[in-house]
Amino acid sequence: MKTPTRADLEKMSFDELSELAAELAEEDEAIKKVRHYFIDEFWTRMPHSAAAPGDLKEGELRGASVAGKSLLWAKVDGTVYALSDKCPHRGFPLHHGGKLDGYTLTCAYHGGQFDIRTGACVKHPTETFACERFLARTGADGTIDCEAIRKRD
Amino acid sequence: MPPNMLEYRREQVAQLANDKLEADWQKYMTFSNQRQRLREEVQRMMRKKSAAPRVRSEDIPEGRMTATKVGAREILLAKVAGQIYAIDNACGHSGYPLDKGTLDGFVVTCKWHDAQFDLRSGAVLAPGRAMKPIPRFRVVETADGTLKIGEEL
Repeated sequence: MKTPTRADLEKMSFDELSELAAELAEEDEAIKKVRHYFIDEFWTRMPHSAAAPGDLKEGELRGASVAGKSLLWAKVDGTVYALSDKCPHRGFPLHHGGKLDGYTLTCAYHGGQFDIRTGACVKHPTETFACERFLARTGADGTIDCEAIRKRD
Repeated sequence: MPPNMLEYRREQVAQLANDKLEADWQKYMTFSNQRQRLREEVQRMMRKKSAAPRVRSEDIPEGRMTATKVGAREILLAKVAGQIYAIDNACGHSGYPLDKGTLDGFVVTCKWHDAQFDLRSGAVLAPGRAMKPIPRFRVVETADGTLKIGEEL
């Protein structure tokens, strides 16, 4: 489909625009399909580990599947936090290109923002969702106790 | 990457090396965002074509809707029990013009994906996600019977 300019759109009637919108919606289905090949591949390539990462650096985000759960690990001010790695908006892996600024985590997909401590949605263009959060406990030796991972209320 | 990105197959994506996967994902998102902006532009043009420059209260039959514009914004005007209600004409779900939909009591249903809004509060009744309410405006009938859109409520 060739891309019409704004001037082209100005000249079109309501019905022509309506038809174009329908074509674009159909194309969007094809776009979505391929987009999900990529997203599925990101999930496939996420590291699986028997233990949670004990070598997390301050301000670092890491995705790891632990105890059958896809988790996002982050360390801020020496405390390790664990959130569900699935963005509650569109299921995108938060570890993929996600940014951490203080306690605010920004999803790379649509820019949704979450508080890493509580999972609460801080900012989203149209919708608000809380991110599922998990409890992470660090043992004396600095490793994370996977058994202690459980869903918070 | 295939010449037309939409022809990407799942197996091809799965075979990409990590850096190529990332690079193609970025290209793909740029393309996908451009199409999204085009869709929004088409919907905006549909709302523009749908809006009348001046609307008089008596032009709107009871239980019917029409659209007008204020600045760069298109406003839906609806008459229920003799009173005029004004909300943003862009459907909060996808941006199509709401005035092409149906009105049942105080409930506006969008023609395209059946999103529903309450005229009185702007509340989203469907889909059941936590979408932002639709903006509402004050309506003033001027001496010559033309409806003037006031401030956002």
